[in-house]
Amino acid sequence: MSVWRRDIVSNLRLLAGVEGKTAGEPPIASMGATNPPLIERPLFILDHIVSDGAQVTRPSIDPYREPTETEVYLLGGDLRLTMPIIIGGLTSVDAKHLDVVMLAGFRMGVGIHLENPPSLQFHVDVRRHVFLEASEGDLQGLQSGPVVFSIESVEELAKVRRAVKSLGLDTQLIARVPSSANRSLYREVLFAGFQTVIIDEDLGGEEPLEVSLSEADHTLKKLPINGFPARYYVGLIAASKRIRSSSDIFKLGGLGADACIIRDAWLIGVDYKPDIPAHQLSERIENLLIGMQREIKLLMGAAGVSSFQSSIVGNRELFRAIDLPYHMCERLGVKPAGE
Amino acid sequence: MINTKSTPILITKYLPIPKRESKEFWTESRIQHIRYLASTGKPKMVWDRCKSETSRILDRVFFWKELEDAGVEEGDYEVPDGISVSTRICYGSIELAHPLYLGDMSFGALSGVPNIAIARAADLTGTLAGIGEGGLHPEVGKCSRIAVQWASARFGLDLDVLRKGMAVVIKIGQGAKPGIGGHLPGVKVVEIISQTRRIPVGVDAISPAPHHDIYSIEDLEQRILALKEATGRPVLVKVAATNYIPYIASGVARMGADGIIIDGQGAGTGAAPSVVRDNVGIPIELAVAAADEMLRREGLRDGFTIIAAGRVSSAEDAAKLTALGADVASIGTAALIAMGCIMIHKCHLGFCPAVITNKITDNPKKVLSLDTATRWVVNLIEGWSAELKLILERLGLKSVEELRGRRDLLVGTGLSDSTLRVLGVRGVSGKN
Repeated sequence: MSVWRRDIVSNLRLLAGVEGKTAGEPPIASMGATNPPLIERPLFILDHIVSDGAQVTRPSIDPYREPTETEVYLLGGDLRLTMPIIIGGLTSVDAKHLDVVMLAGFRMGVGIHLENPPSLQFHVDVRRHVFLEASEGDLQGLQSGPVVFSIESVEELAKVRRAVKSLGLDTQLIARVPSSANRSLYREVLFAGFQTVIIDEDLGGEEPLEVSLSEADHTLKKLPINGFPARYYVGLIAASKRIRSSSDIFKLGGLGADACIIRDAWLIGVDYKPDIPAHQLSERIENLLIGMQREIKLLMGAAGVSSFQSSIVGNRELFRAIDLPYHMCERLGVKPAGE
Repeated sequence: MINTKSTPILITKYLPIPKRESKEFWTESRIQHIRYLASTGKPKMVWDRCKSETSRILDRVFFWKELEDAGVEEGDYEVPDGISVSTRICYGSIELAHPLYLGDMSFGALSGVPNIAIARAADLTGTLAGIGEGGLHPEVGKCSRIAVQWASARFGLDLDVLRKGMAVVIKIGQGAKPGIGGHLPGVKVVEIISQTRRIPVGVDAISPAPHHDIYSIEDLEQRILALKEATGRPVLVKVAATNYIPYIASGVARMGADGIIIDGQGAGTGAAPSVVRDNVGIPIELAVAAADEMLRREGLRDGFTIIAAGRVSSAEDAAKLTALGADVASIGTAALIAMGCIMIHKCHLGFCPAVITNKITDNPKKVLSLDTATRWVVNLIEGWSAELKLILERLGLKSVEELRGRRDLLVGTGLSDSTLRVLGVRGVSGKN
């Protein structure tokens, strides 16, 4: 059983314009759904989670006719993304395409996560959207802008902070951590001067992404700083190569993610091949992103919500779990369907 | 002028069932079973054998009696005498000879003949057919056992149309796409649809997501009362099964509606964005159990009707939903399958091979035979009812009303603790 079911791949490719003639438009289907957990076999906790449809007691919103906002602010408000998406997985991309992908992402107003960065010269505006991974011992070469450090422990947090401070760098610090329920790590990020945490399932960790994200969100919400929950100051980003679709991004938003790093999803969606012409790659990325944004708007509208960051992020009450045991529902903070 | 019209081929036979490329709820054996009922009008089985192929929550709920009855043989069943499946709904104002509602499918989504066949079958069997959102087809308007739908776009509605049926349905939501409006792709909006719905030809007919005059429960009350006064008919409110379904059901009952149609996740649709269809809403079995529980607790259940819709595929499904608290089951997709649907999920494109949901043209090559389609649906209802009687007999009950709310007759297998609690059903391990 593959993570990339035929319908998921086809949906992404219809959005990107690789298939069909309605690029950028949410695909239409008919007759009953066949999705997990009830018909297809569920692979992840996300497959058990459904979103709300607003009706009777409050109105739904019509995203075709009424405004809905998918923008999110990260890095303490310094970075505005037009949608909760960051393009990652660039290690799988041919070097000649890095610029193409980054420019397409920048034009669409999303973030770009760059691991193992080659020495590139960025336009200053583009640089602000690039989450540049710091390589070991080479902090000197970093330009100002968001910098990502892979971190596993509280001690490492402090060490990175000292190193950056001693160099007098003006960078926004982002901690990329494995998917774990390490509450003390989440509690310490703010004190160590980090503004954002990326919970990255692809770095390993003992918990599924859904659980560690939810734990991080809860932990930071319960920690008061200057009269506000710490979560108010710290952004949370979920990352995994198994984030498959706009609905996964939407549900992870509900569990606390301000944005998600997508990896295989966009590579599969645009049908990436090293010999793809640059203009085609760029066009497909833009189509895919605008389509995913529209899908997120449909889900928001159905739930009767007009702003992603203020009303979806961490709003577990909008979601229900189908056939998940109580202990798991409790860890996620999501009620079972029907309750 | 040369008449280029050729006589269309009349469809009176079922198409072969294609091989599936991915998992499907409407499996070949479910389709075969419905086709058997539709062709013969006779029962084929007591306990639903198709449920072992899929893992819907309802598929993992059994009657205790079935577990005791190991291996009843397939064969000719003697339909028992003295068991009543007729039921009264909407504070007793409508009597149904069979506890079935034929789900709201619009003229436009379906291509005309199926709409007429469903409405005529309702008349012939003493059930009730919802006409859906697309206005009233003139031939459907000649039938009496219809429920006229008042949906967010108000397509083709006026007072005459609203008074044509036995009941009015306020459509708030549907199971396939809770929180968003109806959608008829432009390719299917041809001249006759344009006239019935009073919209331009060739343009997508996208109904507003909310009713723009219903933004609260109080607004809903005003519409319910206004429609009752204007038409003199009982009013049902159709909603999708969502997070707050118990509260919604309670609100709908308090606001004076005669009943609620709850449409579960996984229900059919003529067109919906896949992202919404696949990720919004909860299964009908949980919604019915939760709504029934809330209404009972608040003393609102008596006289109020719950119609359960969404993946209702057999008499056993209907019986289990009744035991969980529904009054009547709604069948939509099953009726389409009875008329020859082979479940290829292409309704939104307008070229249905079974000519059920195809685009209407002036010069069609194939047309579904109205007589055959009507007979198929009538037979389905009769065969279904016979199977329901057999189930009631096995359970030792004399009427379908005795089954209502009898959760003690059910058992869940391989279900999580949270699911069992919402269902109010005991669990055993094993079986699955």
